[in-house]
Amino acid sequence: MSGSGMGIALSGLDASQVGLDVVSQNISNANTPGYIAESANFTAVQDPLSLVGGGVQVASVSQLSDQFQKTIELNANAQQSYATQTQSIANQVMTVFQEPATNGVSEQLANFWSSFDQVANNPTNLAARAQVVSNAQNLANTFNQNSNTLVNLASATSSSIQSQVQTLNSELSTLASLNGAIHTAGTNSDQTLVDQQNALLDKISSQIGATIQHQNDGTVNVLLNGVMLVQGNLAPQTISYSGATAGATPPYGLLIGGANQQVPTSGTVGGLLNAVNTTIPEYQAKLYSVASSLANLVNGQQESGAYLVPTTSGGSTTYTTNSASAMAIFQPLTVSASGAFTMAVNPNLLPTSSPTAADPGPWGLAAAANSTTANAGDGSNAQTIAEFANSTAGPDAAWAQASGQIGLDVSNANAALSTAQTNYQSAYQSNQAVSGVQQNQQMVNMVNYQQSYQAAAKLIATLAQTVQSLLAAV
Amino acid sequence: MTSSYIPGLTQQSLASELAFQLNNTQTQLNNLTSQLSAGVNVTKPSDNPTALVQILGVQSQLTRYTQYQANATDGLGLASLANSSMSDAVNILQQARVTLLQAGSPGAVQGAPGLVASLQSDMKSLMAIGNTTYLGTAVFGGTSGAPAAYSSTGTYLGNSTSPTRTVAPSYQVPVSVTDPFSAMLTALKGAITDLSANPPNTNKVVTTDLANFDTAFQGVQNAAGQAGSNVQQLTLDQQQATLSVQNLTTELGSLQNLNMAQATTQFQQVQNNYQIALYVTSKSVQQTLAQYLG
Repeated sequence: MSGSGMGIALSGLDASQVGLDVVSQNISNANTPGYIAESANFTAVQDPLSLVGGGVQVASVSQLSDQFQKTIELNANAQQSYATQTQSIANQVMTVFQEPATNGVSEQLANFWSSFDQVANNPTNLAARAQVVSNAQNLANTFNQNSNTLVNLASATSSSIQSQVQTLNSELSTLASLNGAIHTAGTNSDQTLVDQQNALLDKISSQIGATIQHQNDGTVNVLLNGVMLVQGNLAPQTISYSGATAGATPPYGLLIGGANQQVPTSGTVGGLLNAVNTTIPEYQAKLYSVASSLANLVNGQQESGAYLVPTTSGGSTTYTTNSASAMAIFQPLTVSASGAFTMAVNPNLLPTSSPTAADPGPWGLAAAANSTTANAGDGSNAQTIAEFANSTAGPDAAWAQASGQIGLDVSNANAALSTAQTNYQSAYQSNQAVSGVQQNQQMVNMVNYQQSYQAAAKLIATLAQTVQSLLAAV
Repeated sequence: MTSSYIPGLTQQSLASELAFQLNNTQTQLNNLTSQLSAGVNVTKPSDNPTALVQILGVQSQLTRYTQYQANATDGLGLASLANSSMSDAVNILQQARVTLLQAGSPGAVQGAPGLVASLQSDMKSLMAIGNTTYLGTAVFGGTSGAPAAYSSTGTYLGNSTSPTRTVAPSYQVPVSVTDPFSAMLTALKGAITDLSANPPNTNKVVTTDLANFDTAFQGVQNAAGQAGSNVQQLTLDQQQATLSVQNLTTELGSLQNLNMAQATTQFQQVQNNYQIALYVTSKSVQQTLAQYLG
């Protein structure tokens, strides 16, 4: 028996204690986001003066990470965030094109055309004419409201991007500080710093789908579309949202260092930018197209007809047809700086108590064809307008097409989100399988270290007893 | 010693997977609940974009054909009034013709004032019929919008364009006839003038005036025939529009109405799945080796 046996047993006690500490750390952090399971690495101590050796030592405590699996998970997470935003925005756009709906645009258009039938059937009926004007106002209000909804959505999306960018700058700054701490600590780096680094990378990747480059010293570089955002412990590039700049025009993106504009194609910010650059403007344009198609179609026919100017004398009313200057039903559409358009009914067609040739009120609807003979009872022009309901290239068809298109976009966004979620789940499971904390595994390790500890302690007791026996014999 | 580590399931990955599956099932439940509560299978464009475009198209057509039906009904009101007025006019004119023929009988010269009075009464009745109005507009005044088709002297105040109703896509049907009585009023005036002459020119009445009357009467009868034909045509068109409305309603129903039996069964199935998933989740904090150690 060598006298170094006590030292060897003691090293076993120490190593088992570290092993139990690692198990404790793992179990405690089983549900900590970004935590990577740790493992104690033991090596035998060589002793050139001993034939047996010098016991055991803890060479290192390493993390059970797999950068390949982690990169796949980060990418999947970024895609999932992008798909989540895309689906959410598309669903909100769909509320503007909500069909089939009672009193939706489709039904309002149908009612608008039908009200022209009523005028055609009885051109000298003021109530029928007022109904047309009222329906036209309802349509204009609905289009205006829908246009404003899209502008508000774009505004809210821009605010959300700015908020995300603010958070991102803070995260990049923290990451650079962590890089510095990890670089300074070198191989003695506290694993908790790496866990914090991982948690930050999860967030950054989820926001902009950045590329992560792991360096040999434990630091990471973060790039967006090949442009460096964070390099080691150097101060990160400041990011700003170009859409927040006065006078900026789309497409908007992220300004790296105040100048270099990049548009992420994944992550939450990527999804939001896609909304303000593509989705919302596309449907604002479709809405405008339907509204202008309606106004142009109706105005064109209206202006080719003749309207009435009533004259009441002695309790009876006579009508004079006026074809010289048939007025438009809808005013020209105007677009504000915010991008919202305004549709309005010609104020000269709004009900008035004293109709004149210049301000005829609903009598200004050109129900009659342009004619040199008296034709106040002619509703043929109104009838032609009513028949626009059957046009396959009119506003009804354009509206149905736009509603179908947003339905398709939302349906595709739902499918894309479902796929992205499944991919992320798969990537997350794969990464967790490698670097997550498995309780059974930790329990086995705990029993293992416990028994090693008990054995080493028993060995020390046995050695002490042996020495005592020897001393008693002397 | 290096502790062995075997890749496998972690509590975090198990929780994440369960939450993902629960969310999926809940989304299915929400969609089915929305459809069942609305009773239709398309409640928003994304439910079925292709069906939505079809539904909007059929709904527009349905509104249009319902309007055609209303147009035909409205036209029928005017056409029926024109038709009955023309029938009344023909009856009156048949009496007037008998009066004219009496001018050729012996003693007609002495009875001329009576004949004149009779013809003037008929002419007055004819004028009243000619100025029949429907919703404030002269029925036989064309599209002039004039409140009366004939002036007190029998001059036609309307135009020659018959009012129409659209009863099918790009298909207009006339609902009245224009100026049916001008020629007749002229003929009657001629006969009255000749009978009122001193002495009454009964010979001219039974020759020239009667011939003029018969020619004009033929015109009135033709107009009456046209008025009758309008009623017939509008009745057919109204029936056709009604049939189209029924067909479109059926088509819309087949596109939109929910297959309740199928949806309810599906709902029950998804609900069962959801409850099982919830039960499994509640039990998913699985026992580990920790439960069996010391």
